[in-house]
Amino acid sequence: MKKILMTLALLFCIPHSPALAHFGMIIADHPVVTQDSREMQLTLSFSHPFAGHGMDLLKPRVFDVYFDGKTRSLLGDLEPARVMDHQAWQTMFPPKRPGVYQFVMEPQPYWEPAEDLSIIHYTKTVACAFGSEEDWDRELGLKTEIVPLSRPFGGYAGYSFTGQVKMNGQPVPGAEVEVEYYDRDKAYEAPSDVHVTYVVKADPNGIFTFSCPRPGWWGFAALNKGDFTLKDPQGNEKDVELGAVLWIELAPWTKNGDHPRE
Amino acid sequence: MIKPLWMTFLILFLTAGSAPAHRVNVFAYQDGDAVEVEASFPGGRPCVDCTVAFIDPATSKQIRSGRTDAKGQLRVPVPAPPLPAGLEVVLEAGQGHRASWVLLPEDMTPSAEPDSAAGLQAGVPEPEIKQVQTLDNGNSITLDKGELVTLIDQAVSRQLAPLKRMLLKEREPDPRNIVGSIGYLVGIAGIVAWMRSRRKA
Repeated sequence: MKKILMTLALLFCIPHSPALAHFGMIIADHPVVTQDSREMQLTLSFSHPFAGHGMDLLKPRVFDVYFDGKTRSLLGDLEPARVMDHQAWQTMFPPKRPGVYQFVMEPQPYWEPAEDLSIIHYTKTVACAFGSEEDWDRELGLKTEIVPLSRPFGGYAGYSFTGQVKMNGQPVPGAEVEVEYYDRDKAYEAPSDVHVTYVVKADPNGIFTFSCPRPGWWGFAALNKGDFTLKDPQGNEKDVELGAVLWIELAPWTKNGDHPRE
Repeated sequence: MIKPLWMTFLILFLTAGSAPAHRVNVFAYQDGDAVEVEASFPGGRPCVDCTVAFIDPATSKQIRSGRTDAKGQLRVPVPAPPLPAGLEVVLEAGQGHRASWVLLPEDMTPSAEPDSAAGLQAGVPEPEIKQVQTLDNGNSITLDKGELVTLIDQAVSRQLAPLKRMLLKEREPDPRNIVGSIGYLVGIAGIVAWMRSRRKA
């Protein structure tokens, strides 16, 4: 009897396994734009970033840039692209002035039959142009959002990132944040499925910290049940998972005279 | 005796530690007939009353200087005649705080356009694409020699821009870019030859 119960418990646990977490993604080739790299390429996708499994990303509902207190839609600039052999979107963005540029994607709801819910990841990345880093901590007022409490660009591998999870402008106490490394070159193998996605819980103020051990892109996804429902493909009202996703890039430690990007 | 010494060391240590955080930024763009300079600290505070030197990158000679106002801004006329290598704007904010911004030749238009601030990154307009479309339609060509020369000039300068930029940086140009630029030049020569032959016919 005990064995059967254990087996049932295990089976029950499997669908909740955080392995292969979904991540909305906005990846920039130069999130810190300098005079030598005057524009950046932004790539929007939807994937399991560590495993390298892509999913098709339909044309997003929203793709905005926030700069200097103003918002502008870049939806019309998006060109179809392929990421992990699936539909993705791309554009070049030339910042015109120094400052902090926040890019936000709201995808169309993604129906996930395995989880019996729709997924909407409000995905964000923060870029810095020409040395000006004012307002890197600005909250954009998204439906759900990770507000950075440590600067979300210009860091090195090993950097501890701290952020605050918010939903409808309010901190989410004890929010669960999934963390994944974007293994673009499929260079690493996880010793087990559990190692694919790291999970960290926020404190009562919705604040979490995670140290990123490797250079490259790291994604943080705070997933919460939405306060509304959406129809599944059969027309039944089902729950919605709202994700506040933030991507940051960490640079490698580079010796004098050996800049990999130049 | 020991205590003041200790304090001195502490003060020295603290001031030395805060210095690197006072990085300065300078940014310049063309606005009409003027070059607009903006100088600030990373948090956004303006660099007030700081020296700005304008340098011709080709000769490294200073051609003009000025000081920023209370908003950290400075406005000077666009150099005339235009500088082929662009314009380097160097900010001296004191105590070793120095920053520079290079306005590339393609960032500057000698004859100012009405909305050149917005066109800073837009670069040269692209009228020749329309021309290709009319060619595809088989319609007659209505370009006079002057227009043709302008179009070619624009296309060549745009294709040479990356080369110029690399030469400015005194780095080895990327062979792919060189081949690409030469390819464009050959292509443009081809279009010219073809249009000439068409006109004769």
